[in-house]
Amino acid sequence: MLIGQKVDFSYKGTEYTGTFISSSGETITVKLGSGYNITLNSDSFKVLREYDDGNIEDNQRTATASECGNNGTCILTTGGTIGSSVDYKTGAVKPVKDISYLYNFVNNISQFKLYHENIENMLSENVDSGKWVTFARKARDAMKKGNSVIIFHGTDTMQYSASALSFMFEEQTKPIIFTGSQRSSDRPSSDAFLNIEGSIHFASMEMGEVGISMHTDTADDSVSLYRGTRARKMHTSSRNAFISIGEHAMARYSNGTISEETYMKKPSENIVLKDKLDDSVGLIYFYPGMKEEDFYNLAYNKKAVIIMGTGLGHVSSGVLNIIKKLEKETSFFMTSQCIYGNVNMNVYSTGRDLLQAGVIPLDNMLAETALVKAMYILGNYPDSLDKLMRANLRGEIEDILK
Amino acid sequence: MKIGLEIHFQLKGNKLFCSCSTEGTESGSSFRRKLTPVMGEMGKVDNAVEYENIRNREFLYHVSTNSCLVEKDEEPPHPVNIEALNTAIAISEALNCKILDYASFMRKIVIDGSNTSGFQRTGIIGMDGYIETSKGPVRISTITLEEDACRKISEKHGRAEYSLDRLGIPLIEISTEPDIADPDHALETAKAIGHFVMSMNNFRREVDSIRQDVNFSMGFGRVEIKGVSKLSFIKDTLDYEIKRQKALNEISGKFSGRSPELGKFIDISDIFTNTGSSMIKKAIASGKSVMCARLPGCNHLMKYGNYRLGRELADVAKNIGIGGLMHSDEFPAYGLMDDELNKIYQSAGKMDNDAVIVVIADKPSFQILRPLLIERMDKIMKLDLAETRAATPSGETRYLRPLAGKERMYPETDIPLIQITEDHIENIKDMVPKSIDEIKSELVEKYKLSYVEAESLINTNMLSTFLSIVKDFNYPSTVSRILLQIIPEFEKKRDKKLTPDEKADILGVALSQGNSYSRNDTVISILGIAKRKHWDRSTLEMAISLYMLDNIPLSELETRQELIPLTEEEIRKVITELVSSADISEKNIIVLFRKKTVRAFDPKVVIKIFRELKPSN
Ligand SMILES: [Zn+2]
Repeated sequence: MLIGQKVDFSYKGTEYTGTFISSSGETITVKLGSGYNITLNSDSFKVLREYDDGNIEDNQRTATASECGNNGTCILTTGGTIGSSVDYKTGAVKPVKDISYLYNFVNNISQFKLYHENIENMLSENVDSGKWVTFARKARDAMKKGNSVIIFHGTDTMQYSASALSFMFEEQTKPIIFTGSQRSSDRPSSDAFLNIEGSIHFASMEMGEVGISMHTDTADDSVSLYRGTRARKMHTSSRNAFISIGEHAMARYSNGTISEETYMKKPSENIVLKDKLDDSVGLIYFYPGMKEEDFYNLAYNKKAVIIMGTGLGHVSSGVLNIIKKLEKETSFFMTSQCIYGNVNMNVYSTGRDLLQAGVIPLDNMLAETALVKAMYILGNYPDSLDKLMRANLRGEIEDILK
Repeated sequence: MKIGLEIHFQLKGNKLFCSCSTEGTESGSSFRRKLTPVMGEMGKVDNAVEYENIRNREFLYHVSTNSCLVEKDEEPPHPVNIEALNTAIAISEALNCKILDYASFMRKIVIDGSNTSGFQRTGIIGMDGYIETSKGPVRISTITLEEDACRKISEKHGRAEYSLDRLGIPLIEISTEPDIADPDHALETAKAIGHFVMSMNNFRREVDSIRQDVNFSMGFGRVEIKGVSKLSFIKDTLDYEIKRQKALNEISGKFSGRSPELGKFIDISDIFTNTGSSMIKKAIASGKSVMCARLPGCNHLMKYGNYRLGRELADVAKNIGIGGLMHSDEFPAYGLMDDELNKIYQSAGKMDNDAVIVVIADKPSFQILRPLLIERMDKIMKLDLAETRAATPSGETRYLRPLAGKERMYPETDIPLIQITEDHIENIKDMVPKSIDEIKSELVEKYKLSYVEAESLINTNMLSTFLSIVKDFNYPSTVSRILLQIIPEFEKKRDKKLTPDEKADILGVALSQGNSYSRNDTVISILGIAKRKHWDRSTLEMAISLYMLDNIPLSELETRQELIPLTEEEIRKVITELVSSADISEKNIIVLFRKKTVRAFDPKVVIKIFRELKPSN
């Protein structure tokens, strides 16, 4: 039987007609005339007749290759909930083929020229530094043609990708806006449509940074733009999962209007992309009772290690000893598990010992941002690692005194 | 005639896909959302304007104390409420359905805002069953387990407000095939299904907990009647619909199926500058216009005998927010004077045989209304009566909307398949509700009730009350007598039904378990005291009488003289006194004894002592 094929079958002595959907060996799923799918044990399901209607849908269609034109807004799709559509028969999720449908479903965007290029189709947890380079190059190509850039991205690792592009673009001529959705776009309640609406408007700003455009609140009232290097996903499922840690959102969009809320860099005349990343960096979450050898194994052979320490930036004395041993080959940087606030290693003796061992405090930089930043610096300015990690390059350090 | 039923009933306890309670109140906060009908979900709506309207509607959701992120559509559904699933399996078993090997849930797209997600989660549990009725079996097509929608609070100016309190309550839908022969049969079938529903322990038993849709056709297209609120209204509603369709059939016959041509709307607002009709005065003052139009050949069809063409047109107007559609069969009315009527008729060009409709509305509305009225007349004349109608609280039906297209459904991928094994079904066998016949014979055999008593308990919906009391108070015949005779008799005497609190005072907490009101376990009841004090039946009945007829509060009953039985010593004393007077025999001793005391006594002991003490002559 083929997917979508009409069949007569019997189940527990009664005959039915339905559409074959799928089988898993042990089970068979059929759609009844009422629209309901039912799943039955294969051995209780008996096919009586298969209809040959020659009209079975081809489910293997993939996204068509297209390229961005000039002086518009280029939407790059990479997969994730927002860039997917559902096969309404099987429930299977597939990448969108054509985003012209957005004009029908998103409000207030008829004045924008939208282009679409599908560059990846992946779950966001499978994104790595190689993909960031790809995303960045595609964004550069789009900007070269005078386009703003919107990247549809899975929300789980969006903050890493946004940070990566923030650092790799030393200068950019247009905004690069990441957006995603917490409810898939097959649902009438999806947050995707408003997030996209917001991202398209944000992309039209006179601004030269990388941001994340997501719901401000649970309501469909407004969308906020968060700085790529300060944004963090703080809830597994809610629409307002993203916030900027320790600073206001950069801007807010509601009903066709943008209000700017905090400093944003102006666009540059030129595009400067440093597209080398060295991923020999570790991120270690310290916990009470952490085995010295475990820390050692995670840190060994890395050029840089970002530690998420407790409180103001602490680890156990055992871990401190390992740091002292590895300190010649590896640079250690301290961030905090608290997420909010600065690390300060002068308050307690453990902190002072860590400083003495060469561990560099990263103030209130987010650990995930620090990880990506270290890859960028190692890839492009390996000799200035310690100095540049402490510098505020893309707003990744929020100076509360500024 | 073809009739089918869809019966929905709610379960109480927890919601279907989260652990929120089914009961709650408003919490004070709210949030605003929109819904975007995506790719083809609209089914047949290709009208751009209608589409825009849907897309621009706003929904305001009131958060309730019984809601969490699931109801807010901010979190995927939790695993299915297993008790609700078991209830659906049990009721499927009772209705002879085939239980599916797996429960799998679908998303049924709903874009009126009543579901925060934009869809309702629903899954078939049982298929292809039947229920026995006096006119043969009625087939059950499916039994589904689904989540209830939000409760609508209000709708105005394109914004609907809903409460989350009802969203997610487990709902079981039982659908029959159109095997029902007539309105009486429909009522019988609904009652028979209702019996199974109400015998489920976790049936919610609130005002709105059971909702019935009726599918009906008598050859003029299928009519779906939504929301018949009470079982007893099923028959009234169907009778009304039959009468309506018969009358429309006659009207169509008069015109041989050709629609009379609705005249142009003519603005007659000027006629009413000095009108005595306060309604029209007010409407004109608020900027509305009064217009009339001629309906040729429709005199005495608008509202005359069984004919109600006026109402058919008024329903269409009401659906687009126009409340005022009047017609010539009603006149004179609304405070209109003869000369005003003459002017109206003259303006419309009414001939003797014509009807005239008069509409009060904003000017632009007339352009929308006119094609709808023409379409309505056309449908009626062609006897194409298929549509969705709403049941009214008075047992009538009214036009709601065209029949919905096929529902758009796709799999709910957030909920894994749940296997329903033979063992699983076996394990919940005790939950399967028994048929009325089985219950009757159980009542007769196990509780030694008469058939008449058994039948009355079932027919008066007191079975579950009876069973829960008997579990605690082990005198079935006494309980049955109290429920079926004593309480109704006293209710009649005092001309007032028991309130739920009074019921709990008499019958105790056992009853409250089957009902919505709950009484603390420490609260005493008359049955509770009777059990503790070993009252006999007459003392117990006396207590109920004091409570219901003499308004003696529950707290004072225990110390009432009437309810403290006389000791043998005290009985002996009274009889000794009695014997000294004349004319005492075994025949009248009890009557005379009762006159001597207000307190309870055991008649058998009185007779025994009398025999000892009576003068031996
Ligand atoms: Zn909940």
